[in-house]
Amino acid sequence: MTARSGLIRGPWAIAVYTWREGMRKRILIGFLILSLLFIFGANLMAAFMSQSTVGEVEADVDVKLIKDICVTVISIFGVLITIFISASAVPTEVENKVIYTVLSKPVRRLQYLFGKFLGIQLIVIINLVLMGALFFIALYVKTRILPTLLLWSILLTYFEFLIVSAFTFAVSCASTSAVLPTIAGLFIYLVGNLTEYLKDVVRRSGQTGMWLDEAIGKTARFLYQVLPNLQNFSLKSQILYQAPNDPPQDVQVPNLILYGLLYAVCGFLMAYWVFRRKEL
Amino acid sequence: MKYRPNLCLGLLLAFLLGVATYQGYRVRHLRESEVFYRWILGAANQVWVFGSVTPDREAAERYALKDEDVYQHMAEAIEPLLPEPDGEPAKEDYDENGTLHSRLIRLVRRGTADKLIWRLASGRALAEPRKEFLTALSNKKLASVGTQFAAGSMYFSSESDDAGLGQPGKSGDVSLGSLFFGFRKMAANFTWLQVDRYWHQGLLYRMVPLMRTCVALDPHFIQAYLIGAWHLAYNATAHLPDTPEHLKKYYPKFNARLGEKELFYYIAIDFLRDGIRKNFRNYKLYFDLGYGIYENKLRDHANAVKYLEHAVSHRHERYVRRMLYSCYTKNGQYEEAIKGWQDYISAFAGTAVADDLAPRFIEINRGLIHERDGAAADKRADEAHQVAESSRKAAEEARQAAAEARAAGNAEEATRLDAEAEEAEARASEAYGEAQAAEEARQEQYAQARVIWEKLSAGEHPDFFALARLLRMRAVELVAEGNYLEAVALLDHARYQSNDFWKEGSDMIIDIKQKAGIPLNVTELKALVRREQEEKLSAAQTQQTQPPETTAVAPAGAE
Repeated sequence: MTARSGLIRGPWAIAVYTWREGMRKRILIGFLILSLLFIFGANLMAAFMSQSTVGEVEADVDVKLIKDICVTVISIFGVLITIFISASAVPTEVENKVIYTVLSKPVRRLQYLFGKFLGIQLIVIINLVLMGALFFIALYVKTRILPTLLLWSILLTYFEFLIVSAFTFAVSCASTSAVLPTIAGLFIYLVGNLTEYLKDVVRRSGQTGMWLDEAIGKTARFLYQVLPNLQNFSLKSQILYQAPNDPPQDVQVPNLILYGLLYAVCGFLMAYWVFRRKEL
Repeated sequence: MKYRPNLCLGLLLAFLLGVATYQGYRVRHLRESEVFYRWILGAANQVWVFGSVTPDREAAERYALKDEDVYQHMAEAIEPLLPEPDGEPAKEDYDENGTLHSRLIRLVRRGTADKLIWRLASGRALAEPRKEFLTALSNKKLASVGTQFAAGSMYFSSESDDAGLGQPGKSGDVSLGSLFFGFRKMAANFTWLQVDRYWHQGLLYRMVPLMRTCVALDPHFIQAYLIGAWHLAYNATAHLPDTPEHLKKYYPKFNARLGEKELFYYIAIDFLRDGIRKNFRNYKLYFDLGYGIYENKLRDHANAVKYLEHAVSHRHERYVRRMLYSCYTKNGQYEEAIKGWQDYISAFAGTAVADDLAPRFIEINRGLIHERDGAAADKRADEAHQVAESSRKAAEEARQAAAEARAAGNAEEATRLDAEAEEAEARASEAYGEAQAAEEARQEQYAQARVIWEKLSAGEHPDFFALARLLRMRAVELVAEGNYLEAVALLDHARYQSNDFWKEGSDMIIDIKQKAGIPLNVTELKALVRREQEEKLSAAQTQQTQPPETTAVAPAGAE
């Protein structure tokens, strides 16, 4: 085994192991089954929810409800799976002392972390693919048209999860148990979605002329610009209702992917910064 | 990294955060540009369809809305940057005064330059208008934008109290959209469920504000607009009686006198117009507005045609075109109807409608054209006959006066009067000739119409409208012969043949009975009183609401 192949194989082996380990977790399986049930039942729910309409409009309402229910279910359960798996991957190994066995091998901490992160992403991607596939089928059965825009929606959902996952992972690297990172992950998701509020804070600041007021405004402006804004990914639900080749979306999707990747790298770097000197 | 790892990592992290922040700035710019781009398209369409970018003029003045200003500045900036659309301008490219629309409106209508408009909207060329737009948007000074969550700012209404149907309160200065963590559409769905519940409980007045909240949460919830308008215009009014004229109230917002029932129609119109502002390329909204409300409920054929024409200018189902051609016929645009049906036949040859129904509709329109031309010839004949009669009388009088002048020894005056009489006789003879020609034309046109009606009403499956028209022709002949009772009986039979002939037939019966001195029954008397009242009130209203010269834009809801 050459040094270069070892650089890749090591993290990959850890990733596969993390994936296997993760898929055994009952809570994740529970979330996944629940989400699949919801998506599978979207047709039924849509039928109940649109009972007062008739004809063509009824079919349209059904399709809309299926889309909305599925996007919501994928977002909620997807982010829960992402947070739980990202929060527990490293602390569980520390708790079980498995990490000592792994790090006693010729594996660097960066490789170990990268492997763990990769494994988490594998779990998230597989879950998303499963949920997305069921959503795809549910929509195709209803409309008899291949919902190709759904693929873009799922892709954007993944990059939203990637940001949440990276920062939760960073917190988990500093923690000894999975509880704190899980709460932090939920907090990251909420804050990421409420970043838009900072704009209101900026707009309202400076009205009294007091230095504290101004300082709050400047801090809010800085945070608004630096913190990841998960509302940017709301395009994932809009995209399902727009025509294909919509000019703004064609430009926004690659930009959002890059946006997600950059923040994910930042999150991963933070994780490494915390983990590299961590006393185990 | 080897010597000062923390510093290196910190620097790397700071650099990456900087890059991510810059990317965030780019994404934000794209998002804002998208809102601006969609507003440009929507606003241009509003000017095309409604003639103005301001949904409610009175509210615009009251809340100092900036829609008109922002649109004006944007249009001035974008116009020189847009190319002239390909091909000759179509009928739709001109406004009601015959002025060619701006390039922006024409390109938006065709949908061929969306990419260019997007490039401009997100580029430096429109930086100033974009900034002005975003400032106005964040200050909630735009009512024409449909992508923000601010029910209060999107539904300014000067009529909330008068209309009695309530309006949602202002949502405050905070962006409530964020509250739903990206699940606004689900929130809209749940709100819709509540609307449905209210509908089943019969709480109509509670439905309206909730319906508006629903579409504020999800401005692209087309079905909410369609079903909401359907509830308002059809279900809510199903058990309400028509409001007597004297109980109706004038609503400046709608520029109409309305009772409780009629008000629901106009609220539905307002609701659909709001939907069109936010989803201007969806044919269903235009169709429901044109056919569902203007045609079926208000019998306003001109507006029905207007909105159905907009509906067919976007991607649409076949039935939309059929309804448009039917409305053309009802609006007296027979030539357009024939052309439309001919296009339909060539586009959908082999379908039952194209093969069986369309040729019949073409024939009906031809028959109606003959009737129309026949009526015009009849009018011409009457006028010419009157001219001939008056000229003949004038000639006789001149001759008599000439004879008297000659007897009195005034030869010069007699000669002048003789010349006058000759001139009048020539005029009379010419007018008689014209009357004769017009009479022949009338007979010719009516004969051709009769052939068509006879052809269509014959056979195993007669066309009942054609049958009604045929009976009408016979009734008109009977009236000319003085057989009024027979004519009334025939028209009474004819109006039961076709729904489309009911009103015309009933009006004719009243007119004939009045002419012949036949007593009217109670229903006819009531109809006559209603007709007179409506004429009187509408004349008074026209006088009262004559807009000042400077008012260029009609208030929302007014057509």
